[in-house]
Parts: sequence; structure tokens; C-alpha cells
Amino acid sequence: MPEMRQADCKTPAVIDSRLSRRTLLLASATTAAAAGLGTGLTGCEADPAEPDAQAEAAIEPLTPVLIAQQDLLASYEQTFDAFPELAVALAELRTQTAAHTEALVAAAPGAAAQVGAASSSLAPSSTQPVPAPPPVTDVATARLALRRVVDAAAGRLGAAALRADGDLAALLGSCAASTACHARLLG
Amino acid sequence: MSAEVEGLQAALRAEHSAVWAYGIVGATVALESRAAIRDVDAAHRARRDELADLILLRGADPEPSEASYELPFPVGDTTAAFRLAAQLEAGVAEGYAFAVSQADSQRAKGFCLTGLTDAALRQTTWHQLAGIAPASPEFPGL
Repeated sequence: MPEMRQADCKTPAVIDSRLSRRTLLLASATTAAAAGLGTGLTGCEADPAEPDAQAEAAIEPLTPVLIAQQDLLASYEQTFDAFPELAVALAELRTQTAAHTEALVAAAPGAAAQVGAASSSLAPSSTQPVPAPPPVTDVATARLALRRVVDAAAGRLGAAALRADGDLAALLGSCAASTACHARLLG
Repeated sequence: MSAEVEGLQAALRAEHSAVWAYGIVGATVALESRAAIRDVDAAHRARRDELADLILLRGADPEPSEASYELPFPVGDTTAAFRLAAQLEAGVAEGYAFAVSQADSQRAKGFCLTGLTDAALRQTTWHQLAGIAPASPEFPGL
């Protein structure tokens, strides 16, 4: 698999600017293991005075993307649970999103392992409740809310494609393009 | 020739064939769809010219268009024209996806990623109009 390009030592290019809360937690959780963990990144020495940079450097380039893909699939499930009529209309979009995620997992097994580790290690420590979003009471609003999530996912995949190289860049770009189509269909 | 230029040439070849074949599409679709086809045709021509510039900037000669291309199936009505348009966009997406995989510079990669997404979006539109499901391509260009 081609490696991501590292553009800047102070601001690792592999880290998405829209990191989710789970990703940030993952970064904290992996800081201690940073010294011994292969990252696929080269060319920068982590500054001991910058613990955040250390934490970020421990994350595989595709880990934030895979976490976001899992969140996107969860958004589909939540929407379908609340509005079963949308499950029929939008099943294909969810199926394609799952296929994207599987392809990305296959392309980045290291990142997939980190996502799995983060899921299991974070579950028991979720002591701080996340404020629930306002309840969605009608199909049109639910569809719009899902569209926003999908739109953000397309942007995230596209940004990751720009940072990647070779076949991985093409895969990420293809997933981004397909996800942009989903947003269009939802709108 | 560098890998990046090879990728850009592949995208250019796809744009050349799209520009040629959208002429067939435009001549075949119902009157109310012709303005939309004209817009898409203009977009492909603009991207073709930008690709040629990118190739020239890298010291290579842009590959010219063929005199004509072979249609994949007879195009005799509006539905067939939309099917052809969808197929054209799939080919364009393929050209751009290859170009993305070969790109070294951020400029070329960004340009080709945009081309890939635009092609997938148009393919989705033509699929909808031709009644093809699923409308969205699962892995456009791959």
C-alpha cells in the first residue's frame, strides 16, 4: 500500500482538521504507546514539548477516516431505525457506504486495527455523556440531517485522497466521489 | 514521460471521447434536455483544455483527439442517449481515477479528484434519467 505524504512537521498532514471526539480520545489513549508504534510516517522528529503532536503521530493515516466511516454507517442505522420508510429508499446508499468502508479497511489494515482497539478501549471509559442532538421528528428533517453527515464524509474522504498517493489516493477519491453522489441523492 | 503526465494523458483521452460523443447525445435527446447536454459538453471541453495546459506545463505534447470513436451501442432515442452519457462519464471517471493514482503534484491530483467527482455526479444524473439503478456508482473510476 502506498504511504501517505507528510507535508509539514508541525502540522501532520495525515490528521484531518475535523477530527471527531473519538479520534481525539484515541490520540490521547495511544500517546503512551507512541514511541514503539510504527506510523508509516517519516522525516519528522516528534518534539517532546508537544504531546499533541506525539499523539497525532501515533495514529495511522487512515484511522480518522475509518472512524468517520463507522460513524457514518451508524448515522444511517439511527436514521433507518427512526424512519423505516427511509431504510427502503436509501438502502443502496448504506450498502455502498459499507462497501467503501470494507475496501478502506482492506487497504489499511493497520488503521483498521487501531479503530478496533479504540472501540474496545473507549467503551468502558465513556463516563462523560455526550449531549444528544435535538430529536428529529419528521422524515424530511431526518433526510436533511443525514445529507449533512454524508456531505461532510465526502469532504473528509476527498481531503484524505489529496494527502494520499498511488492506488490509495484513487480509492479514497473514488469513495469520495460516490459519497458526494449520495449527498446529491439525499438532497 | 513521467507517470503524472501518463495519467493526465489518460484523462485527456477520456475527455476527448466524451466531447465527441456528447455531440451524439445532444443530437439524440429530446429538446427539453438539450440545454443540459450543452452545459455538460461545455464543461468537458473546458476540462479538456485545462488538461492540455497541465500537460504542456510539464513539457509534453497533449494527445490529440481521434477523428471519430465507436459507439458502444446504437443510440436512437433519449433513453439510449442518457445511457450513453452515463457510460461516457464512467469512462471519464476511470481516466481521472488513474490520473489521481499517478499524480505527484497537489495541483494535478486536486484537479483530477474534482474531475472524478464531477463525472460521478453526472453519471448519477444520467442514471436517474435513464431509469438505471442504483443511480450512484459504487466505486466510480475503479
